[in-house]
Amino acid sequence: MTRDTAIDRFFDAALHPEDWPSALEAIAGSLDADGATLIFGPATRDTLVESIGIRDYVADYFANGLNFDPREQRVRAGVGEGFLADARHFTEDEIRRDPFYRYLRKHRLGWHAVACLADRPAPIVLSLKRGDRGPFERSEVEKLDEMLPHLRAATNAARLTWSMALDDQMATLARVGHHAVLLDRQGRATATSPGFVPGDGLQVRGRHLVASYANDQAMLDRVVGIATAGERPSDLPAPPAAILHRPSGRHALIARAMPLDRARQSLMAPSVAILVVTDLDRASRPDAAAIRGVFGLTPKEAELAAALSAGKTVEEAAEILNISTAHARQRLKIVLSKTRTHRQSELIALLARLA
Amino acid sequence: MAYENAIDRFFSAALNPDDWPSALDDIASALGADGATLVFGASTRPTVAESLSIQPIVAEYFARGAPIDPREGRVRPTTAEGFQNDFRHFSADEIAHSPFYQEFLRPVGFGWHAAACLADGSDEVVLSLKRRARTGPFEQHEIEALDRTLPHLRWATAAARHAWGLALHDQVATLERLGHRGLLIDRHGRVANVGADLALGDGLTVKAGVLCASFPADQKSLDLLVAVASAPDAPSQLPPPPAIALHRPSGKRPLVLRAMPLDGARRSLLAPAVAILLVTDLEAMRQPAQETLRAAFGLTPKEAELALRLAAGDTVEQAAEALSITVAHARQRLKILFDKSDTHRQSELIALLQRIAEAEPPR
Repeated sequence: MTRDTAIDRFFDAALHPEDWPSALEAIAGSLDADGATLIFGPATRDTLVESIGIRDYVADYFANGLNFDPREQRVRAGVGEGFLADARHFTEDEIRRDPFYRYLRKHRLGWHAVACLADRPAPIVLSLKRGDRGPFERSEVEKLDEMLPHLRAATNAARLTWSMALDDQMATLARVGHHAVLLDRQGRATATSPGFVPGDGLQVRGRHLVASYANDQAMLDRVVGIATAGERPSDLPAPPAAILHRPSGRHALIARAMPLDRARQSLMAPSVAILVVTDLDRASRPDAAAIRGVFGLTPKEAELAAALSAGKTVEEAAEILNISTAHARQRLKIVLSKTRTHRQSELIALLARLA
Repeated sequence: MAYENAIDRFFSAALNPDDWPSALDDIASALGADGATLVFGASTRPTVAESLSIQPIVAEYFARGAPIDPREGRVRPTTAEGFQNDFRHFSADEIAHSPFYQEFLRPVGFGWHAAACLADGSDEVVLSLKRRARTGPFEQHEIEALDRTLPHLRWATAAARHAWGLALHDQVATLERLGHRGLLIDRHGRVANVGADLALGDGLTVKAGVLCASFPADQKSLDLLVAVASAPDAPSQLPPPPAIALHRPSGKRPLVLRAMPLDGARRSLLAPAVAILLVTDLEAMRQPAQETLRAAFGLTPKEAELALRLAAGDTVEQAAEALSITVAHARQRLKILFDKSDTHRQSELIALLQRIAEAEPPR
């Protein structure tokens, strides 16, 4: 397995996440390691992928080892640095004596070299592990460092693609009249749709979603929690809505959170769920052009229909359109006929679907 | 080393499309060429990314109107083959007498190329490396070296496409959870998510990816909508095309179609779709959920019941009958509804209820 191919495999897995185990196996092999892990953000079973050969070790690690891993505290790899070997953080003595290192040696994985591939919004860390061959020497670390720019480029490129795709999603939702907030695994905001200014009803404080009224917070947290928990979506009933009341007295916001399945699986996407926010105060008015096009109304008929769908009475609409009430009623009859509705309430309900 | 840089640059531009001109420049020089183009979807309406070095030449080609490029017809590399140079398709004699080579390419300083297919099918991707006349053609040993980069470039292309496919899947899924049906449209105006769970047939069908209206009279507006949605250079700043109605043989209310361009996907050049067509079934009336209504306005179950009937289009009288209460009783309840929802008349209340219904998932 050449280095070239190892980088290819990395790139491929960055975009086909189910390929990580075999890609990491290939990468480990080409770099004289016995295994590799890639961790996206804080280490949990969901956010860590491992090479095929060390599966058993990883299972055991989460059952037993994680609790007393001193590297969790001490090792902080950054994108400004290259690969870091054990000697960087621990003395020989510590390595000899630390219970965790003894635990590692039992699994024949006593040594590692770690590098940060990306750090925003959460760090992505690649860890190469080996046992019998001993620690990664300086010359080996230098060789590893040669690969880093390629791995970082692939990681950033994959992340960027997801960001672009998620921006598209928010733009589409905006076009159908909803605001959106993208959420990470911890339920914090990673992005909000342009044109949505949080504040009245819903605020974003230090990336946390905060309801304006304390009474609404529990439901908001629950809605967000369900969507970011990553349960199989098909098992869930329709997502509940959180009603967020507003200090301004305007109609409430309805917030509904939905998981983004593929984004979540990708591990590279910065967000795993989307909070769709509907502003009840914003009347969704179908424009006259759409009404005309769809029902074949004349411009004047469409104007009347638009006014009624905005909540005006026939009398008010007549005044706005500068016609008599009788005239407006006559026109309404034609509109009802063309839209095949029988009364004003039905017409409004129908037109609302067009917004 | 140079080849690795070329592959790196290709990888990142595949996912960051604004980078293509500069990435292609770097790729060209790393691979011993003077310029490069990447052509997406060669057969119908190709989109072309050009290295910075080539951009002025291409502009010239389109401005001046050059003799027809004979390679258009003949050069069709596939993924079954590697890079092909000029002599694969033309003899030295043909080249010496070709108006395109001699009257256009040579005078602007170019003349040789090597092309390879990175992806097959309707969304073909062809990389074409170009050399100045004086550099000379790509020799066999150079072609062999280029061929070693091919698996990497093909891999990057397939992987990037796949990633976009996943992202678009999520987008359609989110829309469906909000009760909208979405059809993904590719650059050729064809439906890209064939497995779309859409009640097709009455008003709209999909045949080999092509959208067909049930009534011929509607086909023209449908074609226009699809054409505008999939146009290669649809500017995102313009207002979207208006909604169209597709009438139905069953006599039900029409289907309404709206086009939503996907800017990021379109710019990526590798995404399998460039727009979403939202399909709204006017016959299917959406109701707000009882729980949502009650939570939003603090309604009792009976108040919510009345609200739902009104939202569906009943008059107060009809609602009273359906709920087995007197009209006076219903009006009383309606007053409370107005109060709790901060509305003042029925039309306003219905508009508000519909807005809530909009955000409901389908039942």
